This record gives sequence, structure tokens and C-alpha cells, in this order.
Amino acid sequence: MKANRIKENRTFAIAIHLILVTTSLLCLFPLVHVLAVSFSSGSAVAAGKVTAWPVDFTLTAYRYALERVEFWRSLVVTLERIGIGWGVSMVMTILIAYPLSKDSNEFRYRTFYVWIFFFTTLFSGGLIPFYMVIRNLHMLDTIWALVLPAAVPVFNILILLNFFRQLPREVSESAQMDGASHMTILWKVYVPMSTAALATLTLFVLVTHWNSWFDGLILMNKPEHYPLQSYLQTVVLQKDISLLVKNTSDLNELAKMSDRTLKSSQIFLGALPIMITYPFLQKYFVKGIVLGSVKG
Amino acid sequence: MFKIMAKTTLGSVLVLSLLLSACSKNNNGAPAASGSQATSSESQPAASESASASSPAIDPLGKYDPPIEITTFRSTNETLEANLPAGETLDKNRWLDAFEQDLGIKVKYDWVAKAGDQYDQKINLSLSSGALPDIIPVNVNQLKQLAESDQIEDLTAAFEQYASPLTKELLMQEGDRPFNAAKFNGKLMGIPSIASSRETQNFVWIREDWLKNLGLTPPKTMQDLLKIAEAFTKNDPDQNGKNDTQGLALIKDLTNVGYAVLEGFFNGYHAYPGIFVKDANGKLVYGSTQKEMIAPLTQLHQMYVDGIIDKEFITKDAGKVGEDTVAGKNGMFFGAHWNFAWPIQLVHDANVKADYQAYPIVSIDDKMAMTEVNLATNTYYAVKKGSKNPEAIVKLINMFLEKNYGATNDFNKYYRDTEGHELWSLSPFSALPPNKNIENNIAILDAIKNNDNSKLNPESMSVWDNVMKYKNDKDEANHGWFKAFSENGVGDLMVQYANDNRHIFNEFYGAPGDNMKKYSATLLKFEKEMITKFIVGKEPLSNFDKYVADYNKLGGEAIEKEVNEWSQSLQK
Repeated sequence: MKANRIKENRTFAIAIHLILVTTSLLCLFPLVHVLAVSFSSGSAVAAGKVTAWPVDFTLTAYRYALERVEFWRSLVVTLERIGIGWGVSMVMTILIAYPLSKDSNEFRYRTFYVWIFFFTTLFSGGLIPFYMVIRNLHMLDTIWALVLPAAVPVFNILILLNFFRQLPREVSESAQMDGASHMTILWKVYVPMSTAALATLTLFVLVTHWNSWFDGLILMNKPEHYPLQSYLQTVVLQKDISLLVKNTSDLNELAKMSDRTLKSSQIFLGALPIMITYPFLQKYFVKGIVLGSVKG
Repeated sequence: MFKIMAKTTLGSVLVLSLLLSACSKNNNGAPAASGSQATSSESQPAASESASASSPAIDPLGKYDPPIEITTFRSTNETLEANLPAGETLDKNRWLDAFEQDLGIKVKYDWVAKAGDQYDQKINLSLSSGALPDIIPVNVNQLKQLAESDQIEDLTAAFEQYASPLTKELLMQEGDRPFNAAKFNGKLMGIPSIASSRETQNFVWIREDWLKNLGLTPPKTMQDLLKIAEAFTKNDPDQNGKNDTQGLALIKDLTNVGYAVLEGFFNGYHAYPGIFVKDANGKLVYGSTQKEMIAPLTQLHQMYVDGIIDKEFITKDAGKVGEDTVAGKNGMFFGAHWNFAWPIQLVHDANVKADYQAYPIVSIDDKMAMTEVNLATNTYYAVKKGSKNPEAIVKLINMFLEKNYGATNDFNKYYRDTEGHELWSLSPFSALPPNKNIENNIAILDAIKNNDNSKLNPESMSVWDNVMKYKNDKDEANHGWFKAFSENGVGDLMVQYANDNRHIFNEFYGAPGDNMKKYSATLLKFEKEMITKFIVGKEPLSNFDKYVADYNKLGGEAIEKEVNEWSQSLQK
């Protein structure tokens, strides 16, 4: 009887493991393929010989990619955007989450404000009104167009708000008795106690800013001002070979169309920083999210 | 109760005052409008005065004094950016300097975007948010929208008066099709940025080394071609002892892409899928639903059954089939002239012995096979309503053509320099004469024959250089160019096609009408699905009539009616 159950459990465990391993392999494979393509020679790729392992190993694609001014220029834009965007949205998140984490008897209109913030996540004006707002505020083609629309991440506020709520009330009450103002309590007590949540939110903000490409494409008026992912999008998007060929230069361009190795190397370079940052922030990640979700 | 009354009266007072202020605004507006009318009527006599003063009237290349400023959009691409001459940028270069110095026109960009989806998206955003620049480069669909919403100027008079004789000649090289497409209610609403329609023509590309291996000769008729395709499949043309080749490469898109497609095959049976052609009564009919399609479809089905066409073609796009071609798994395909650069150069890179050659498409009977072509002009320059100088775009195009092809041309400075910079593309406004490449090809072929490059322009010169790199230095990377410009190479065939006039134009080339907008997405999908089913045999060809009936029911009939009305409106 017991043996049976153990056996049953084991088959179950094996099945679960199998499913999980297959799923993760399926997720991993495209990345491995891109990596293999980026290290292979162009003709091997054109003939479709590359799957998971490089054929005719070469680093030319990486050399070429790293030599491109556009790549570095757009990387600078992305770093700038992350720097400003992270600062702005963390300050906003903390400042908004604190009052909203108070009970209704301390902050009378709390629920009303929470709903106002929540409301904005349900509806959006759509692309054209959004574009017109940015244009009429004269933010087109500036870094602020990439930063300000994402300055108040409501989802992050909700996480931090709940995190603040489960901090022991006694701590803030004793600080209050010692004569601390709300500002002091927030910056000296709450923020130091919330590093796990803040690290998680940092990761969210980083990833959002790093990965956004569409806003760069439509809000920037010059390719020089594109952030990295927008630039990569223009590079990687398969050229439409039905595009009419009008000139000899187009023909030369066509001969290069198999530049999948170059594209792959740039995709990989574009994903690398996040892959490196992730493990360092990951230890906070689970804790931050789980704790934030417990309501007290 | 009293409170409510007070509120409503207050409200109505507010509404009233709003109305009043609106009225007063209107009142203010009216004099302003008439004021501007006055100024324009003042300026009009001034213009006609200046015109009558310098009596040969309007100077197509006259300079604005004081200079004017115009705004526009432009697209860019990687080749362009990688090839900027030293010290020049998209915002500051020889073309913009020339426009400013010679024409007194300062060109400013509202924005610049990479060509492709994002460019179209930005244009649509600008159009729908009403942020129009002075000169708007648009496609025919957008042109129609702008014309119907009365946001752009009528350019009929501006073009008539200001276009130089050279401009008129070059833009009309292909007839008045590009202009008809830009006409709404008889008014010219955009200047076509013309391109060569004939270059959408198809050839048949065959592995010549395989022909030799099997002792076959190039096809003269469709029957020959079918035999070759069969031999390529069954007789081990690559002599590797394995049955691993297919006769005819085909992509899942079936048509339109210009590589491994079927237009050339259907054309050999005098069927013209995807385009509108005149029937015996002079009525426009849609090629894909005509009975001429049955014979080639029957043949294609047979080829599919025999394994001459890849059994998995319905899952393969051009990139994927390209991989097969490069790997030497198929030996023949229908495609455009540019296939020699892609994928054929790659085939040669992968296997030096592999040798593709282009041939004219062949016919099933004694009637010559005609290749179907579409209007290639896809950009029109429209001018925002209320622009002070709607003729500026005509002058800009005059200048573009004059500097490149006119009597005073400075080709090396403005079109292409000896280092290979594509200087013409620095200009945001362009038009490429449709016969340009044919003329270049004739000159290059002549030069190669006589071994004398003295008469070549720099564009042809670069081709000459590529050919010579192979001929003299055996540079395999230029094998494609060498083949294209040897005798009966594809460069030569382009000239032969032109001389024989082997083109059937799509007789519908205007902006899509309401019915077409409404139904064509569904219909195109239905058509492709059915043709694919006929080829793989999921649907027997005895059902062809049913397919046609369904097609017409789904909106095909409405579109045909609309297209014929459009065609008749042209003849008025």
C-alpha cells in the first residue's frame, strides 16, 4: 500500500519534472540558436546548417557589431533613460505609496486616491491621443518623452503600498512619539526596512526601460535618438525582399541580406546586460514580491 | 427647487456666454480670413505680374527671393547612413545646399525614421494627428484619404506651369499611369516619385551546371521546362547518388515576392493571377478567376504529386526556400532580375560550381509568353492645403532631374560619385526614370563587348567594376554581376524584354475604392488558400467554377464593378 503510494508519487514527480524541463528547454532553445547563429559563418547560416551549435566558429559578427557607432550611441540613450527613469519613478513610487499605505482613519481619502491610481491602469487614451499629448507638451524627440509617461508605475505602487502596510505599526508609532515627521519616518524608517521590495521594483523598472522599443520608434524624430531596443528593432526586422530594387546599391544591400549572424550578435548583446543583472537582484526578487502580496 | 432653478439659469447663462464668445470668435475669424484672402489676391496679381514681366513666364528652376522654408518627412536606411560622404549628414548635405542656393528653398525635416514599418506608422500618426508638413510623401491610399478630407492642394496647375520639359518627359516615360493614380476628380493631388514598373517582371532561373550534367538544353517552350523540372527531380542532377533534389522551388506566398513565385509559370499559360486585365470585350477582369488558370493549376498539382515541387512548400517562406536553394536542393525558380544578388550569389558562395542562369519565361503554345507587371510608383508628394508655394515641390523635382539627367547634369556630384556614394538618396525628393536601368544596361553590355568603358556614367561604372573584378581577378563574390552582364545574362534579358515589349500591365493601378478596401483582405486570403488547395489537391480542379462563384459572392463582383467604373472615369 505504502510502496504503491511512493511509486505513484515518484511517477508524478517524474512527470512534473519532465514537463518542467521540456518547457524550460523550449524557452532556452531560441536563445541558444541565436547564440549559435551569431558565432557561425554567414554562408553556413544561409544554407540553414546551424541549429544549436556554431558552424565554422567566427567572431566577425561581434567585431562588426561592436564597431557600429549606432550601437553605442543607442546604448548611451538607453542608459540615460534608465538612469533618469529609475530615479524619477522610484521617488514617485515611494512618495505615493507611503500615504496610500496609511489606514483610512489616518488618511481620509485614501480609498478614493487608490481608485484614481488604479483607474488609470484600466483605460488608456490610445496611441494617437498619447502622441498628441506628447507633441503638445513639446516633449517629442527628448529623453523626457521616454521617461515621463512611465514615471508613475501603478503596479509598482500597489506592490510597495502593500509592503509598507505589513511593516510593524509599532515602529512608525514609536518614531512618531519621538517627534519624527512623516518625511523622516518614510525616508529613515520605511525605506531602509523595504530594501527587498525596492530591489524588486528596481528590477521591474530596469527591465521595462531596457525592453521598451515602441515608444522610442514613434516619439523620437531621428534614428540617432533611438534607445537600444528601438535601434535593434530596425536592424533585426527581416527586410522585405519584395521591396522593389531600384538601384545598384539596393542590389549590394540584397547580397548582405543573409546577415543573420550580425543580427543575432546584436540581439545577444542587447539581452546580455539584463541577463547579467538578473541573478544579482534575484535573491530579493521572490521575497519582495511574496511579502508585498501578504495583506495585514 | 429654487436651487435647481438657479443652477439651470446659471448653466444657460454659461452656455449662452460660450455661444457668444464662439460667435465673436467667428466674427474675429471672418475678417482675418478675408484679410488673408485679400493678401492672397494681392499676391496673385503680383505673381501674374512677375510672370508677365519675365514673359517666358514661369521659370521651372527660378529662385525664391526671399528664400522660403518648407518642412517634410524622410526615411533613411542603413546603407544610406553607412555611406554618407565625409562631413555630410541627412540634415546638411550637397542636395539641401543646392536647393537652398539655387532655388531659395530651405528644407527642414519634421522627423526622420528608418524605412519600413516604423516609417509607415509614423506617417499614419502624423496624418491622423493632423501634424502635416508642407510636403507630404505618401502612398496612394494615404493620398486618397488626404484628398478626400481636403487637406492637400490641387497640383494640376502647378505641375502644368512649373514642370520643366525634362521633368515632363522623364516622368511620362511609362505613360500617364503614375499620374492617373494620383488624380482624384480629375485633379492631380500628388507628384509621383516615379519608379520602373517593368522591373517587377519575372524570369526563370535555372541551374546551368545541372542542365549540363544531364545533357539538357535550355527551355524554349513550357513543355521543355516541364521536362527539365522532372529531370532535376528524378535524374540526380547534382550527381551525388541521392534522390534529394526538387525541380521547381516555390514559397508559400505563391506570388508577389519576386523569388520562387508562380507569376512566370502562369504567364506561360497566358493566365495573369493577381492583376486586372482586359478581356475580349475591353472589360477589366481579375486574372486569378479566369479559366486560363485551370491548365497551369492542373499541371502544378501534377508536379506536386510527382515531388517536383517541395511537399512542404506551404510552410516555407522566401527565407526558408532560399536556404534550400543555397544548399542545392532545388534547381529552378521563377523570379525577378535581382535574384542574381540574392540568393544566387549565396548559392555560388556556398558551392563555386553552382551556376544559375536566367531565361525568358516560356509559353505553352505558339503565342509569346508575356510577363505581368504592376505599377511600381508607390510614393507621391502631396502639398499641405494652404501652403504658400504649392509649386515648390515641382521645382524641387525639376532640380533633382536636371542635376542628374539634364543638359547641365553633374552626375558625379549629385547622383553617384566615383567612391560609390549614392548621393541621389541624400535628396528627400526623388524620381527615378523608368528607362534608366535599361539604358544603363545597354551601355554596360556595349562597353563590355567593346572593352571600352569611356562612355559609362558612374552608376554603370560601378557595375563595370564589379564585372571586371570577376573577369580579371576571379573574385567569386562578384560572380553574380559577371553572369548578369554576360551575353543573354539577366541584364541583357531585361533589354530584350523591353525591346519585345513583353509586358502586360495591371490595368488597375489607382487608389483602392471602398469595395476594394472592404473586401480585398478577405478575398486575397481566400484566393491564396484556394490556389494552394488546388495545387496540393485538397480541392479538385473540377471545383474551379465553384471557387470563382464564391470569389465573386465574397465581394469579387463588387470590386470588379468598381474597378471598371474607375477605368471608365479615366477615359473621360
